[in-house]
Amino acid sequence: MLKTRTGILLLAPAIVLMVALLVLPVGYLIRFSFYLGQTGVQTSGGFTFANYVRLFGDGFYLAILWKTLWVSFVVTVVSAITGYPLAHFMWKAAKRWRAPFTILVLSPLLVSIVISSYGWIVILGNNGVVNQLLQFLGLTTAPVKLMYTNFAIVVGLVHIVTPFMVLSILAALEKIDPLLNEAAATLGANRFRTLWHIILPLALPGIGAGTTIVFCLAISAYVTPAVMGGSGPNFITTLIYHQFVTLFNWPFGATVAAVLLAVALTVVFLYVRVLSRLGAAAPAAR
Amino acid sequence: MTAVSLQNITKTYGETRAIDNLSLEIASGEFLTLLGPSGCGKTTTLRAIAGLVVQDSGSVKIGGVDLSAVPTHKRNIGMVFQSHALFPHMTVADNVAFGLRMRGMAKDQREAEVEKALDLVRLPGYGSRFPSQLSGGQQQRVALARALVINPSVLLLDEPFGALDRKLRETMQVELRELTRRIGITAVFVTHDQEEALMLSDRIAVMNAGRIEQLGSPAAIFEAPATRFVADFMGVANLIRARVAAVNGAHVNLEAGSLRLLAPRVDGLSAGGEIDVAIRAERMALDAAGMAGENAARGRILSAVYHGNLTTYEIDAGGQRLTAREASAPGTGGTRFRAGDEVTLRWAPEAVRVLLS
Repeated sequence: MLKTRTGILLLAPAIVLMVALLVLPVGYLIRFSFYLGQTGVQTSGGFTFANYVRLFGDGFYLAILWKTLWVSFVVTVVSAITGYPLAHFMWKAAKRWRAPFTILVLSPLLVSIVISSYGWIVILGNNGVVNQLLQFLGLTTAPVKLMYTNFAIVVGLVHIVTPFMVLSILAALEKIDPLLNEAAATLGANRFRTLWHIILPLALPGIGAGTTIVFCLAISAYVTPAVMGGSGPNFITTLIYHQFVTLFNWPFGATVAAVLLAVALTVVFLYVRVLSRLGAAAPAAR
Repeated sequence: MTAVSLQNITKTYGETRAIDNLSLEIASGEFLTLLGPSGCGKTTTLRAIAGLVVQDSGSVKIGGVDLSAVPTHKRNIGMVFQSHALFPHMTVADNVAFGLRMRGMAKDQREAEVEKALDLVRLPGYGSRFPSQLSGGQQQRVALARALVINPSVLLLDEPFGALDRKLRETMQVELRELTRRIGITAVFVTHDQEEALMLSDRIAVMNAGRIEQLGSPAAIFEAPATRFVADFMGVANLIRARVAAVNGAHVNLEAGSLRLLAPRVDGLSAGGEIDVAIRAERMALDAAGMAGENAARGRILSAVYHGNLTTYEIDAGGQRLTAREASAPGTGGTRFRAGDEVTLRWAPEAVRVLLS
């Protein structure tokens, strides 16, 4: 009894904060999406699904939604592929290198996303480092369009989200008993087979957490697609901004936001279920 | 036939020599224990056999083949670790089958072998459980099955029972002893527990500072420790520095302060030399009456400690501190004597063991 009361008391500040700052505004926003817009917060008419019909009936909006999902998926996969070896390296490195490496891994987050996004223009722009190098090597004669493409968004986002991937995987790796490597070796497993059969399955919860975080960060990223994706709404977040700020159509912006939220929740829910089914095979170690 | 042969193995970490020019031959089917305190190099030696540690010089041969340059996963050894090191995401059956899988054995054949191995360690029907659902002793049995199922050339055990409570440890020791003898496997066991070593082994190698201090049967190590280190490690309470007074016939006369000792003669003693002698506490008999003399001393009890079946007395015998241990006398409140009592200690000449310096 006391335990329950203590638990409620401990949770109370967080619950109040969540309700006041998240549940109420988001609920209010979703309510908006069921009315037609006038200007700004003003609505007209009664309860309607018209905004949703418009969104799902228009190829332009669906294309943006698909592009957002696809780019976020690619960002997640690329950051997992680059993040895992980095985390594994940090796990194997001597303890005294842990702090310097962690700072290095976090360094993309120490610079404002706006600044680092513009920084990529210097590298990926038509007169950027990459294009100058390609032309110097004679691989192309005209500049290749790298900036303001999906490729640019992927590069910019991977740069920002990889630290989250690395730290999630590292946390899982650190729970692995290093003796398991030796046990596997005595049983005849070389390093690759030990990685495949022992280490990767045990790192799976970390990879799962990392990919979930990264996907959510990517799907809701605004600055990188806005700066590196070129002009006009090309990402679901920039579309929302466009509706709210440029067109001043709050209800339609709220509709897009509600769909983004629903898609993100669905993807995360399905993904976590798949992961827990994979992980359910092994009950938590004592 | 020699199963494992270590020749002049040396391994240094920085300034310290973990293994110092160690050579050892282990016979096929033998149960050999590396016994010593922590830091004596016993675990490093075991790991060198496994290839988990690569020696700086010397060679490791298993079954007559030099494996010094062969990595662990190609050595065909079975190893059991203190923390069992079971794969937590695999069932018991998958853990045991892992080594067979790495050897490319077909699935149905694997399952039959796993079943046999689990029967061997008395865990039939536990295949579908996960390691976290087993007790400490059961986990260690699974680790043993996993190491044995691959039919290794040698079974290596690194303090496998160190984490278990005393009663369970004793059960596991009896089982391991019976099992290894029955299947006739060559085993190298590492422990710091002398009782465990005495009970399990065909031979014991007592290690100190990276070297083997004494190699012999449990009885030889216990009854006839060769050096002061071995005697001390095997729990000999009375280590006395003595001067050789006379050598005559089958015996030597020794003096240590006011103590006069008669010991069986050993080679290389001459009158006037200084040597160490060891006398086990349980070989000292206590009496209220009596006189000092050869292999007999008068003393005063400093302390009497009751351990249940045994009682240990600390005695001051003319400035020489001696320890005697005897079966606790029933009906005396546990101890026959109390601190302050005057007693006579007696011991047989055969109880006095002259140690090499």
